[in-house]
Amino acid sequence: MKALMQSKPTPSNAVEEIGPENPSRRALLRAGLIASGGLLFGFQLPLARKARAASDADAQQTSNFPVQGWLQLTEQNEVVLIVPVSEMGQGSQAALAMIMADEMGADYPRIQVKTPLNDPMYNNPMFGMQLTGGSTAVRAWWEPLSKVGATLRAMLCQAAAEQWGVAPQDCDARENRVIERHNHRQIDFAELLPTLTQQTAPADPPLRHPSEYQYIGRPMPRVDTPAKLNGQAQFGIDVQLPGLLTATLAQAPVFGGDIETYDEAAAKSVKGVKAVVELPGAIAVVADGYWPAKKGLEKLNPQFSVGAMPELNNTQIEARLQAGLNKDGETVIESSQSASGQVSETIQADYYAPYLAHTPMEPMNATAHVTDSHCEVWAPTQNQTQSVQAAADASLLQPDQVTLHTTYLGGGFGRRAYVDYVTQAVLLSTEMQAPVKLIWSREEDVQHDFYRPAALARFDVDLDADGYPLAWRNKVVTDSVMADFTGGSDTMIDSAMTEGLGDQAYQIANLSLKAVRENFSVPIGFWRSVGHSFTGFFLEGMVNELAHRQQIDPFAYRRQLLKDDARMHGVLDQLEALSGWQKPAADGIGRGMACVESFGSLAGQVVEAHLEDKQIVVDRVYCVIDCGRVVNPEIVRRQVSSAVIYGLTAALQSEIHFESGRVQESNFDDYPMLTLAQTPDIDVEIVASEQAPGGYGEPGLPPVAPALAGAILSLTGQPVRRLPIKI
Amino acid sequence: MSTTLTINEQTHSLDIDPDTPLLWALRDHLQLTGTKFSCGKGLCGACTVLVDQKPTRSCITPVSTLNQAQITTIESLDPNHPIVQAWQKKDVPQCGYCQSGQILSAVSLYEQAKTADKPSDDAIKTTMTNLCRCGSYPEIKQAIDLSFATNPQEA
Ligand code: FES
Ligand code: FES
Repeated sequence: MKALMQSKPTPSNAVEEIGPENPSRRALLRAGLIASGGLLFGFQLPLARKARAASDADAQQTSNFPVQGWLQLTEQNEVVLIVPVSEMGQGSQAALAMIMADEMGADYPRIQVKTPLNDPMYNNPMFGMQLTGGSTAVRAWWEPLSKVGATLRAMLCQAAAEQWGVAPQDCDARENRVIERHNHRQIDFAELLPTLTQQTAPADPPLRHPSEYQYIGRPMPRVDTPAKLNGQAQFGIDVQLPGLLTATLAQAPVFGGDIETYDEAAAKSVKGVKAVVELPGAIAVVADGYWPAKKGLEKLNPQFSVGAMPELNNTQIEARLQAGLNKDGETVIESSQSASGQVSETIQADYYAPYLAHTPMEPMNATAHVTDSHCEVWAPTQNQTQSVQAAADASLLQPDQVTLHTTYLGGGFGRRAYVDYVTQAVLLSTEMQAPVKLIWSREEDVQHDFYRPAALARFDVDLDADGYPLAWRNKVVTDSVMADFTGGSDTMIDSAMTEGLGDQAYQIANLSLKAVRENFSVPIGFWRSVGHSFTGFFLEGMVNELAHRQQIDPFAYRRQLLKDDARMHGVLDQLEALSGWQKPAADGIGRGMACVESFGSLAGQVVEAHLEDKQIVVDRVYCVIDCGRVVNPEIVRRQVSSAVIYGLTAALQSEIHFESGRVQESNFDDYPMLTLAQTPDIDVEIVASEQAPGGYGEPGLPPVAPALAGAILSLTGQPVRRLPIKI
Repeated sequence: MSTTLTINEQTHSLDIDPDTPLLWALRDHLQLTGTKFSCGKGLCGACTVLVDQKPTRSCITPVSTLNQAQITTIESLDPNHPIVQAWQKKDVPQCGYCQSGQILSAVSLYEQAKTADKPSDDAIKTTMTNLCRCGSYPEIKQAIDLSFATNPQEA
């Protein structure tokens, strides 16, 4: 796993640099006949100067990779797009399909979308691996997919122009046909298939001017909706194969523990149970269905050794984080321009955020079928590159002997960037010499997550007589998700530990930011908005506190701190108007606000809440997001409101506890999420912007906890410095 | 031992343990995978089906209790049902995993209220208890409102 995040390609995923003079397996343009008829197009990115027409050899080779390439044109005049991201609810399939449809001239409402198999050609350009995450889908793929689309449009226009004896510039592609501008002649893409392969791909085909977009910028319906209304959408858990066995497992309750004893005979006495299989740190029961597997597991009574931290509990965790505050730590930022002005007081405050689980609705699962020479995997995963490596390692095959099918994901939120379930499914299939689907129980999911790490921050702020900071000292103690992901050292400090705390838009003359690593041997990972999920709460909570002390309006206080950051000022102005901030809040309603820049976008929120029998009731959330150019405004709105609800769940209800090294929570009763009845009204506005596209799956999350904390502060006069928020 | 189940108006005879939850009979024995597993404890509603028209959490409903029952799963739902239509118009699903259960809960709400007025917001809130980790609740609420805004008699 270690090498995978490095930009240097490993031998298994190296991309050959091949020009038209040196055509070989990976041609720059692959346009070949496919078994079902029609043409398959695969462009090597970045696009080269010239592309090569399909040769016989190419046409033969296409049969080896039935769904690879970027798109297919069929004889029925359909366009099938291969969209290189995992669809986990974020709407990226639709957004990328809109980009391609517009650029090539396809008919978006009729478009079909496929998720590709594993292949380095689909590596996310921002990561260098086939991975969906970090709110990157549109940011990473807009340009490369546009180039593919523009190239194909140019070739379609050339083919039609040749046929009509006109200039290609007089042609355009729209809705699966080429249209001649002057004489209004039209021809379906399908009719151009015979001559399309003889066209040369233009060197640098011009992209469409935004004024020509038919779909981009509009709230087009999602391509994945119909299948999600009738039970046909295939999630990982739905995979069916002939002779498929089903397994479920128990993992060592203390991380790092291993199986010691179990009652195999008792498990096998359950009708339908086929085998009991030991796995690293776990034991699985394989049966002819989930129910017998689960009953077998209940009878198995597995006992595990205690792992690395058998004593671990929350008191210990917090004590160690506290002690971390006394360590020097690593300096992230040390800017000291000599500040003018007299320190009138110094405020110190500590902020805490707990461990959190992801709990996507679809439990962890994967299906594998391993033979002597091949390993086929079906997985709802965000991370194809590491899934393939994990499958190769577990099956003792080479990565090029692994085929990975990515299904729909029943939620990801970062959890499915990890591939533990793939390793386990492949080991089980290898052992059983049969296809096996592994399904975790919800309890295993909650107790064996890669958790959002707990974090503690201390602020020491010197204020001037007006209550504005002269010097700002900030230290964060937490664990490193990047060290866990990349196999970094125990002392590695990563940017996610402090992201948003030093690069925030506030201009403070004397800023000191330090990071201290505390490693608890608890598996940790990317949780929606990663480090910003706690740093947003810390920083914006502190800013709200300072404004409140001085009785300065939090918008006004921020405007002063922001100085000339025009974009964030714009977000604040729009948010103030949207939320009616200038009017006083209704009786008993507290209001708070926050703004955070993350994943290339700026988000501001106002939360209105009140107290009922010492319970917090959130009434309304107003959100403004500036995420640059927008492909589908409705998808952006949904993602922001989705992130608000995810963030409110965490702010109000979520905390993972440890006792004797074991996670105490286990299901949705003790690790609940917001219900429809508890969900406030949410208004989302998108800033009209021509800036480069930013992310939108995560940036809606960081502001909601501090904005809610601000609302509680306005009601009680007490700053909220811990999550989840308790009155 | 053989268990008889009537699912989507078809009768099936299954050789499974009587304590098998309906969820796994559907998914593992009848390949009706539109009904989802999530919590396995009746807490989330992802596994909701209609049993004699009532939304029922199939993960905690043993097949032995369903001898005489009419069971409806997402697969047999009329695509023109006002709830399905509203779900499409509002593009409700995000990841989609909870949506079979959400839709069937909403169908039951719709069918009960069809001849009466649109249910109150409170009624919607107490009925729609299915969890959605993606937070599609605002759109679920809007889709239910929309389904009642279009004339229910046309259903
Ligand atoms: S899976 Fe049945 S209620 Fe959650
Ligand atoms: S749409 Fe993803 S859980 Fe509801």
